[in-house]
Amino acid sequence: MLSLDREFLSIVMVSLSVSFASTFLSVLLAIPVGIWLATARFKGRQITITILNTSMSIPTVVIGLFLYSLLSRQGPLGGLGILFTPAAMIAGQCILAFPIIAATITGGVSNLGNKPYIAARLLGASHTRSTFLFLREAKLIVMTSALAGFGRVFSEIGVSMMLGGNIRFYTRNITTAIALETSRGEFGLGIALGIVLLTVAFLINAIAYSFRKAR
Amino acid sequence: MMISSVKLENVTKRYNGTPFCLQIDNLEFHNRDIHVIVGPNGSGKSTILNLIAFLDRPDAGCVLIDGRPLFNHDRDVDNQLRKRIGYVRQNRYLFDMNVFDNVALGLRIRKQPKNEIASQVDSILPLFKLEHLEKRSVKSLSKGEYQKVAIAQVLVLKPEIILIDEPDANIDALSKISIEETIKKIQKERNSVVIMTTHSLKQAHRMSPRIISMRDGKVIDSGEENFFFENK
Repeated sequence: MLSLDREFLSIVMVSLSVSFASTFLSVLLAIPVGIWLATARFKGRQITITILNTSMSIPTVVIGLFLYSLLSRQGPLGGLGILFTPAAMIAGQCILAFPIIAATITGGVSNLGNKPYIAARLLGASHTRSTFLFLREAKLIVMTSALAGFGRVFSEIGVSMMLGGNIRFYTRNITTAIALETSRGEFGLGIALGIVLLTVAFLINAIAYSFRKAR
Repeated sequence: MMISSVKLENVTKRYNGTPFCLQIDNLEFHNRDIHVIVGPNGSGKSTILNLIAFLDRPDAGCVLIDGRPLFNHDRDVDNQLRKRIGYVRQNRYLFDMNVFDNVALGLRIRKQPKNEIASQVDSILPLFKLEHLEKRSVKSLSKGEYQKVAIAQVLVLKPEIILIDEPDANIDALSKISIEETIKKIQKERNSVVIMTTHSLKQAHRMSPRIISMRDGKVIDSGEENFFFENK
Protein backbone atom coordinates (compact mmCIF):
# COMPACT_ATOMS: atom_id res chain seq x y z
CA MET A 1 0.00 0.00 0.00
CA LEU A 2 2.75 2.40 0.90
CA SER A 3 5.14 1.43 -1.90
CA LEU A 4 6.59 4.63 -3.32
CA ASP A 5 5.47 4.21 -6.91
CA ARG A 6 5.74 7.02 -9.45
CA GLU A 7 2.08 8.00 -9.29
CA PHE A 8 2.02 8.12 -5.51
CA LEU A 9 5.12 10.33 -5.42
CA SER A 10 3.76 12.62 -8.13
CA ILE A 11 0.49 13.13 -6.20
CA VAL A 12 2.33 13.94 -2.96
CA MET A 13 4.78 16.26 -4.74
CA VAL A 14 1.96 18.20 -6.47
CA SER A 15 0.23 18.65 -3.11
CA LEU A 16 3.39 19.81 -1.35
CA SER A 17 4.70 22.10 -4.10
CA VAL A 18 1.37 23.82 -4.81
CA SER A 19 0.61 24.27 -1.12
CA PHE A 20 4.11 25.58 -0.32
CA ALA A 21 3.98 28.04 -3.22
CA SER A 22 0.51 29.33 -2.36
CA THR A 23 1.37 29.65 1.35
CA PHE A 24 4.60 31.49 0.54
CA LEU A 25 2.84 34.00 -1.72
CA SER A 26 0.03 34.48 0.79
CA VAL A 27 2.53 35.16 3.58
CA LEU A 28 4.25 37.81 1.44
CA LEU A 29 0.91 39.56 0.90
CA ALA A 30 -0.41 38.99 4.41
CA ILE A 31 2.59 40.38 6.36
CA PRO A 32 2.12 44.04 5.37
CA VAL A 33 -1.68 43.80 5.53
CA GLY A 34 -1.64 42.08 8.94
CA ILE A 35 0.84 44.54 10.44
CA TRP A 36 -1.03 47.49 8.97
CA LEU A 37 -4.36 46.31 10.38
CA ALA A 38 -2.75 45.65 13.77
CA THR A 39 -0.93 48.94 14.14
CA ALA A 40 -2.76 51.57 12.06
CA ARG A 41 -5.77 53.43 13.38
CA PHE A 42 -8.24 54.44 10.68
CA LYS A 43 -11.96 54.70 10.12
CA GLY A 44 -13.33 51.35 9.01
CA ARG A 45 -10.51 49.32 10.60
CA GLN A 46 -12.86 47.19 12.67
CA ILE A 47 -15.13 46.42 9.72
CA THR A 48 -12.06 45.51 7.63
CA ILE A 49 -10.93 43.07 10.33
CA THR A 50 -14.46 41.63 10.53
CA ILE A 51 -14.53 41.11 6.74
CA LEU A 52 -11.10 39.46 6.92
CA ASN A 53 -12.25 37.14 9.70
CA THR A 54 -15.44 36.30 7.81
CA SER A 55 -13.54 35.47 4.63
CA MET A 56 -11.65 32.75 6.54
CA SER A 57 -14.75 30.62 6.24
CA ILE A 58 -15.47 31.08 2.52
CA PRO A 59 -16.14 27.61 1.09
CA THR A 60 -13.37 26.39 -1.19
CA VAL A 61 -15.82 25.64 -3.99
CA VAL A 62 -16.97 29.28 -3.97
CA ILE A 63 -13.37 30.43 -4.50
CA GLY A 64 -13.01 27.72 -7.16
CA LEU A 65 -16.16 28.88 -8.92
CA PHE A 66 -15.14 32.54 -8.75
CA LEU A 67 -11.68 31.92 -10.20
CA TYR A 68 -13.03 29.42 -12.73
CA SER A 69 -15.34 32.14 -14.11
CA LEU A 70 -12.36 34.49 -14.41
CA LEU A 71 -9.89 31.98 -15.88
CA SER A 72 -12.17 30.02 -18.24
CA ARG A 73 -11.74 30.73 -21.93
CA GLN A 74 -14.69 33.17 -21.98
CA GLY A 75 -13.62 34.84 -18.72
CA PRO A 76 -11.76 38.15 -18.43
CA LEU A 77 -8.49 36.35 -17.57
CA GLY A 78 -9.02 33.49 -20.01
CA GLY A 79 -6.18 34.78 -22.17
CA LEU A 80 -3.68 33.73 -19.53
CA GLY A 81 -4.44 30.10 -20.32
CA ILE A 82 -3.73 28.86 -16.82
CA LEU A 83 -6.97 27.05 -16.05
CA PHE A 84 -6.30 23.39 -15.14
CA THR A 85 -2.65 24.11 -14.34
CA PRO A 86 -0.80 24.21 -10.99
CA ALA A 87 -0.68 28.04 -11.38
CA ALA A 88 -4.48 28.22 -11.19
CA MET A 89 -4.45 25.97 -8.12
CA ILE A 90 -1.85 28.23 -6.50
CA ALA A 91 -3.95 31.34 -7.25
CA GLY A 92 -7.03 29.75 -5.71
CA GLN A 93 -5.18 28.50 -2.65
CA CYS A 94 -3.67 31.96 -2.17
CA ILE A 95 -7.16 33.42 -1.89
CA LEU A 96 -7.99 30.65 0.56
CA ALA A 97 -4.90 31.07 2.75
CA PHE A 98 -4.58 34.85 2.71
CA PRO A 99 -7.40 35.71 5.17
CA ILE A 100 -6.27 33.05 7.64
CA ILE A 101 -2.65 34.21 7.59
CA ALA A 102 -3.47 37.93 7.60
CA ALA A 103 -6.01 37.58 10.44
CA THR A 104 -3.59 35.53 12.55
CA ILE A 105 -0.81 38.08 11.99
CA THR A 106 -3.22 40.91 12.86
CA GLY A 107 -4.16 39.23 16.14
CA GLY A 108 -0.58 38.36 17.08
CA VAL A 109 0.90 41.73 16.18
CA SER A 110 -1.94 43.53 18.02
CA ASN A 111 -0.81 41.75 21.18
CA LEU A 112 2.83 42.57 20.51
CA GLY A 113 1.97 46.23 19.82
CA ASN A 114 4.54 48.72 18.62
CA LYS A 115 6.80 48.16 21.64
CA PRO A 116 9.68 46.53 19.68
CA TYR A 117 9.61 49.34 17.10
CA ILE A 118 9.70 52.08 19.74
CA ALA A 119 12.38 50.24 21.74
CA ALA A 120 14.58 50.07 18.64
CA ARG A 121 13.98 53.74 17.79
CA LEU A 122 14.94 54.74 21.34
CA LEU A 123 18.19 52.81 20.97
CA GLY A 124 18.97 54.96 17.94
CA ALA A 125 17.85 52.64 15.11
CA SER A 126 16.61 54.10 11.84
CA HIS A 127 13.02 53.53 10.71
CA THR A 128 14.16 50.69 8.40
CA ARG A 129 16.25 48.94 11.06
CA SER A 130 13.48 49.38 13.64
CA THR A 131 11.00 47.79 11.21
CA PHE A 132 13.43 44.91 10.63
CA LEU A 133 13.82 44.41 14.40
CA PHE A 134 10.05 44.53 14.76
CA LEU A 135 9.65 41.81 12.11
CA ARG A 136 12.31 39.75 13.82
CA GLU A 137 10.27 39.86 17.01
CA ALA A 138 7.13 38.93 15.06
CA LYS A 139 8.73 35.96 13.29
CA LEU A 140 7.02 33.34 15.44
CA ILE A 141 3.66 34.98 14.79
CA VAL A 142 4.35 34.91 11.05
CA MET A 143 5.50 31.27 11.16
CA THR A 144 2.50 30.16 13.20
CA SER A 145 0.14 31.93 10.80
CA ALA A 146 1.95 30.43 7.79
CA LEU A 147 1.47 26.95 9.27
CA ALA A 148 -2.23 27.65 9.80
CA GLY A 149 -2.51 28.75 6.17
CA PHE A 150 -0.54 25.74 4.92
CA GLY A 151 -2.76 23.38 6.91
CA ARG A 152 -5.83 24.91 5.29
CA VAL A 153 -4.61 24.71 1.69
CA PHE A 154 -2.95 21.31 2.01
CA SER A 155 -6.23 19.66 2.98
CA GLU A 156 -8.63 21.54 0.67
CA ILE A 157 -10.25 19.89 -2.33
CA GLY A 158 -12.68 22.39 -3.91
CA VAL A 159 -10.10 24.76 -5.38
CA SER A 160 -7.80 21.94 -6.54
CA MET A 161 -10.59 20.02 -8.23
CA MET A 162 -12.22 23.00 -9.98
CA LEU A 163 -9.09 24.89 -11.01
CA GLY A 164 -6.61 22.02 -11.36
CA GLY A 165 -8.92 19.55 -13.04
CA ASN A 166 -7.34 16.50 -11.33
CA ILE A 167 -5.01 15.79 -14.29
CA ARG A 168 -2.79 12.75 -13.70
CA PHE A 169 0.94 13.55 -13.17
CA TYR A 170 0.17 17.26 -13.49
CA THR A 171 -2.48 18.69 -11.16
CA ARG A 172 -3.66 15.62 -9.27
CA ASN A 173 -2.94 16.14 -5.60
CA ILE A 174 -3.66 14.13 -2.45
CA THR A 175 -7.22 15.30 -1.85
CA THR A 176 -8.38 15.07 -5.46
CA ALA A 177 -6.69 11.67 -5.80
CA ILE A 178 -8.43 10.35 -2.66
CA ALA A 179 -11.81 11.50 -4.06
CA LEU A 180 -11.09 9.83 -7.40
CA GLU A 181 -9.79 6.55 -5.97
CA THR A 182 -12.71 6.29 -3.55
CA SER A 183 -15.25 6.84 -6.34
CA ARG A 184 -13.49 4.07 -8.29
CA GLY A 185 -13.58 1.74 -5.30
CA GLU A 186 -9.74 1.71 -5.15
CA PHE A 187 -9.33 2.24 -1.43
CA GLY A 188 -5.66 1.20 -1.17
CA LEU A 189 -4.09 4.27 -2.72
CA GLY A 190 -6.77 6.47 -1.14
CA ILE A 191 -5.94 5.22 2.36
CA ALA A 192 -2.17 5.58 1.75
CA LEU A 193 -2.70 9.17 0.65
CA GLY A 194 -5.00 9.75 3.59
CA ILE A 195 -2.20 8.62 5.92
CA VAL A 196 0.20 11.11 4.25
CA LEU A 197 -2.39 13.87 4.68
CA LEU A 198 -2.89 13.06 8.35
CA THR A 199 0.86 12.80 8.96
CA VAL A 200 1.49 16.22 7.42
CA ALA A 201 -1.45 17.66 9.43
CA PHE A 202 0.03 16.16 12.60
CA LEU A 203 3.49 17.57 11.82
CA ILE A 204 2.04 21.02 11.16
CA ASN A 205 0.23 20.98 14.49
CA ALA A 206 3.33 19.74 16.30
CA ILE A 207 5.46 22.54 14.82
CA ALA A 208 2.74 25.13 15.53
CA TYR A 209 2.55 23.90 19.13
CA SER A 210 6.32 24.22 19.56
CA PHE A 211 6.13 27.82 18.20
CA ARG A 212 3.31 28.68 20.61
CA LYS A 213 5.35 27.22 23.45
CA ALA A 214 8.39 29.25 22.40
CA ARG A 215 6.29 32.43 22.45
CA MET B 1 30.01 69.96 24.55
CA MET B 2 28.01 68.02 27.11
CA ILE B 3 24.33 68.75 27.46
CA SER B 4 23.62 70.65 30.63
CA SER B 5 20.02 71.82 30.47
CA VAL B 6 16.59 70.60 29.44
CA LYS B 7 13.71 73.04 29.44
CA LEU B 8 9.97 72.84 28.80
CA GLU B 9 8.48 76.20 27.81
CA ASN B 10 4.71 76.82 27.74
CA VAL B 11 4.15 73.17 26.89
CA THR B 12 0.68 71.70 26.56
CA LYS B 13 -0.20 68.19 25.52
CA ARG B 14 -3.47 66.30 25.34
CA TYR B 15 -4.37 62.90 23.94
CA ASN B 16 -7.38 62.30 21.68
CA GLY B 17 -9.74 64.95 22.96
CA THR B 18 -9.07 64.22 26.65
CA PRO B 19 -8.62 67.15 29.02
CA PHE B 20 -5.06 68.52 29.20
CA CYS B 21 -2.69 65.85 30.41
CA LEU B 22 0.16 68.33 30.56
CA GLN B 23 0.20 72.10 31.05
CA ILE B 24 3.59 73.49 31.94
CA ASP B 25 4.59 77.15 31.85
CA ASN B 26 8.25 76.73 32.56
CA LEU B 27 10.19 73.75 33.83
CA GLU B 28 13.95 73.51 33.67
CA PHE B 29 16.34 70.73 34.58
CA HIS B 30 19.45 72.85 34.66
CA ASN B 31 22.07 70.88 36.52
CA ARG B 32 23.95 67.74 35.65
CA ASP B 33 22.32 65.93 38.51
CA ILE B 34 19.44 63.62 39.34
CA HIS B 35 16.00 65.22 39.06
CA VAL B 36 13.00 63.30 40.31
CA ILE B 37 9.49 63.93 39.07
CA VAL B 38 6.97 62.63 41.55
CA GLY B 39 3.22 62.43 41.39
CA PRO B 40 0.27 60.08 41.25
CA ASN B 41 -0.72 58.06 38.17
CA GLY B 42 -1.94 60.28 35.34
CA SER B 43 -0.19 63.36 36.64
CA GLY B 44 1.84 63.77 33.42
CA LYS B 45 5.22 62.42 34.56
CA SER B 46 5.70 59.99 31.67
CA THR B 47 4.40 62.56 29.17
CA ILE B 48 7.28 64.87 30.12
CA LEU B 49 9.80 62.09 29.47
CA ASN B 50 8.11 61.17 26.18
CA LEU B 51 8.39 64.78 25.03
CA ILE B 52 12.08 65.02 25.93
CA ALA B 53 12.81 61.66 24.24
CA PHE B 54 11.26 62.71 20.89
CA LEU B 55 8.47 60.15 21.32
CA ASP B 56 5.79 62.85 21.33
CA ARG B 57 5.45 66.41 20.13
CA PRO B 58 3.87 69.04 22.34
CA ASP B 59 0.57 70.52 21.09
CA ALA B 60 1.94 73.93 21.97
CA GLY B 61 5.19 75.31 23.37
CA CYS B 62 8.54 73.63 23.00
CA VAL B 63 11.12 71.43 24.61
CA LEU B 64 14.63 72.89 24.51
CA ILE B 65 17.90 71.09 25.03
CA ASP B 66 20.73 73.51 25.74
CA GLY B 67 18.47 76.21 24.29
CA ARG B 68 17.79 74.36 21.01
CA PRO B 69 14.19 73.32 20.37
CA LEU B 70 13.47 69.66 19.49
CA PHE B 71 11.86 68.85 16.12
CA ASN B 72 12.88 72.21 14.74
CA HIS B 73 16.18 71.14 13.23
CA ASP B 74 16.75 69.15 10.13
CA ARG B 75 16.37 65.41 10.57
CA ASP B 76 20.12 64.72 10.89
CA VAL B 77 20.52 67.20 13.73
CA ASP B 78 17.50 65.73 15.52
CA ASN B 79 18.87 62.19 15.04
CA GLN B 80 22.23 63.21 16.51
CA LEU B 81 20.47 64.76 19.49
CA ARG B 82 18.23 61.71 19.86
CA LYS B 83 21.32 59.52 20.22
CA ARG B 84 22.49 61.60 23.18
CA ILE B 85 19.30 60.80 25.09
CA GLY B 86 18.72 57.43 26.77
CA TYR B 87 15.19 56.51 27.79
CA VAL B 88 14.15 53.57 29.96
CA ARG B 89 10.39 53.47 29.51
CA GLN B 90 7.90 52.23 32.06
CA ASN B 91 6.60 49.98 29.31
CA ARG B 92 10.02 48.37 28.85
CA TYR B 93 10.69 45.95 26.03
CA LEU B 94 13.67 43.66 25.60
CA PHE B 95 14.24 41.79 22.36
CA ASP B 96 14.03 38.02 22.00
CA MET B 97 17.80 37.60 22.42
CA ASN B 98 20.12 36.80 25.29
CA VAL B 99 21.16 39.38 27.88
CA PHE B 100 24.48 40.20 26.20
CA ASP B 101 22.90 40.79 22.78
CA ASN B 102 20.17 42.97 24.26
CA VAL B 103 22.67 45.16 26.06
CA ALA B 104 24.90 45.25 22.97
CA LEU B 105 22.06 46.12 20.57
CA GLY B 106 22.31 49.90 20.82
CA LEU B 107 26.09 49.74 20.35
CA ARG B 108 25.61 47.55 17.27
CA ILE B 109 23.09 50.04 15.91
CA ARG B 110 25.78 52.70 16.37
CA LYS B 111 28.18 50.46 14.40
CA GLN B 112 30.79 50.24 17.17
CA PRO B 113 33.63 47.75 16.59
CA LYS B 114 33.09 44.23 17.97
CA ASN B 115 35.82 44.34 20.59
CA GLU B 116 34.62 47.74 21.80
CA ILE B 117 31.07 46.38 22.14
CA ALA B 118 32.29 43.39 24.14
CA SER B 119 34.32 45.55 26.49
CA GLN B 120 31.48 48.08 27.01
CA VAL B 121 28.94 45.34 27.75
CA ASP B 122 31.37 43.50 30.01
CA SER B 123 31.93 46.66 31.99
CA ILE B 124 28.24 47.55 32.50
CA LEU B 125 26.89 44.07 33.40
CA PRO B 126 28.78 43.77 36.72
CA LEU B 127 27.37 47.14 37.86
CA PHE B 128 23.95 45.51 37.83
CA LYS B 129 25.26 42.09 38.96
CA LEU B 130 24.17 40.62 35.64
CA GLU B 131 27.47 39.15 34.42
CA HIS B 132 26.45 35.56 35.24
CA LEU B 133 23.29 35.97 33.14
CA GLU B 134 25.10 37.08 29.98
CA LYS B 135 24.02 34.08 27.89
CA ARG B 136 20.53 33.74 29.35
CA SER B 137 17.47 34.50 27.27
CA VAL B 138 15.64 37.56 28.60
CA LYS B 139 12.47 35.47 28.70
CA SER B 140 13.85 33.48 31.62
CA LEU B 141 14.72 36.52 33.76
CA SER B 142 12.94 37.62 36.92
CA LYS B 143 11.20 41.02 36.87
CA GLY B 144 14.07 42.62 38.75
CA GLU B 145 16.68 41.17 36.38
CA TYR B 146 14.61 42.20 33.36
CA GLN B 147 14.44 45.73 34.74
CA LYS B 148 18.19 45.84 35.29
CA VAL B 149 18.92 44.62 31.75
CA ALA B 150 16.57 47.28 30.35
CA ILE B 151 18.43 49.99 32.28
CA ALA B 152 21.87 48.55 31.38
CA GLN B 153 20.82 48.48 27.69
CA VAL B 154 20.34 52.25 27.82
CA LEU B 155 23.22 53.19 30.13
CA VAL B 156 25.81 51.27 28.09
CA LEU B 157 25.26 53.88 25.36
CA LYS B 158 26.55 56.56 27.74
CA PRO B 159 23.72 59.02 27.08
CA GLU B 160 24.15 62.55 28.34
CA ILE B 161 20.49 62.76 29.32
CA ILE B 162 19.14 59.68 31.06
CA LEU B 163 15.36 59.40 31.35
CA ILE B 164 14.01 56.65 33.60
CA ASP B 165 10.30 56.11 34.03
CA GLU B 166 9.37 54.38 37.29
CA PRO B 167 12.55 52.33 37.78
CA ASP B 168 11.05 50.36 40.65
CA ALA B 169 7.81 49.23 39.03
CA ASN B 170 6.96 45.66 40.11
CA ILE B 171 10.28 44.73 41.68
CA ASP B 172 11.37 43.69 45.14
CA ALA B 173 12.94 46.05 47.68
CA LEU B 174 16.48 44.68 47.30
CA SER B 175 16.51 45.07 43.51
CA LYS B 176 15.00 48.54 43.93
CA ILE B 177 17.80 49.72 46.21
CA SER B 178 20.48 48.14 44.01
CA ILE B 179 19.08 49.85 40.89
CA GLU B 180 18.92 53.21 42.68
CA GLU B 181 22.51 52.93 43.88
CA THR B 182 23.74 52.01 40.40
CA ILE B 183 21.91 54.96 38.82
CA LYS B 184 23.43 57.34 41.38
CA LYS B 185 26.91 55.90 40.86
CA ILE B 186 26.70 56.17 37.07
CA GLN B 187 25.32 59.70 37.23
CA LYS B 188 28.19 60.76 39.43
CA GLU B 189 30.83 59.09 37.25
CA ARG B 190 29.48 60.45 33.99
CA ASN B 191 28.14 63.77 35.22
CA SER B 192 24.98 63.29 33.18
CA VAL B 193 21.50 64.78 33.52
CA VAL B 194 19.19 62.14 35.00
CA ILE B 195 15.44 62.73 35.02
CA MET B 196 13.44 59.97 36.64
CA THR B 197 9.83 59.59 37.65
CA THR B 198 8.32 57.81 40.58
CA HIS B 199 5.11 57.79 42.54
CA SER B 200 7.00 56.97 45.72
CA LEU B 201 7.88 59.94 47.89
CA LYS B 202 10.40 57.84 49.81
CA GLN B 203 12.22 56.86 46.64
CA ALA B 204 12.24 60.46 45.44
CA HIS B 205 13.96 61.56 48.65
CA ARG B 206 16.44 58.70 48.47
CA MET B 207 17.44 59.66 44.95
CA SER B 208 17.83 63.42 45.04
CA PRO B 209 16.89 66.67 46.74
CA ARG B 210 15.85 68.04 43.34
CA ILE B 211 12.21 67.02 43.29
CA ILE B 212 9.42 68.20 41.01
CA SER B 213 5.92 67.45 42.26
CA MET B 214 3.13 67.06 39.74
CA ARG B 215 -0.60 66.69 39.83
CA ASP B 216 -3.17 66.79 37.02
CA GLY B 217 -0.54 67.67 34.44
CA LYS B 218 0.78 70.66 36.32
CA VAL B 219 3.90 71.28 38.36
CA ILE B 220 2.74 72.03 41.86
CA ASP B 221 6.12 72.32 43.50
CA SER B 222 9.76 72.13 42.53
CA GLY B 223 13.22 72.80 43.84
CA GLU B 224 15.22 71.65 46.78
CA GLU B 225 12.91 73.31 49.26
CA ASN B 226 9.95 71.15 48.56
CA PHE B 227 6.92 72.33 50.48
CA PHE B 228 4.72 69.65 49.02
CA PHE B 229 6.69 66.98 50.82
CA GLU B 230 7.39 68.96 53.89
CA ASN B 231 3.66 69.35 54.40
CA LYS B 232 3.03 65.63 53.94
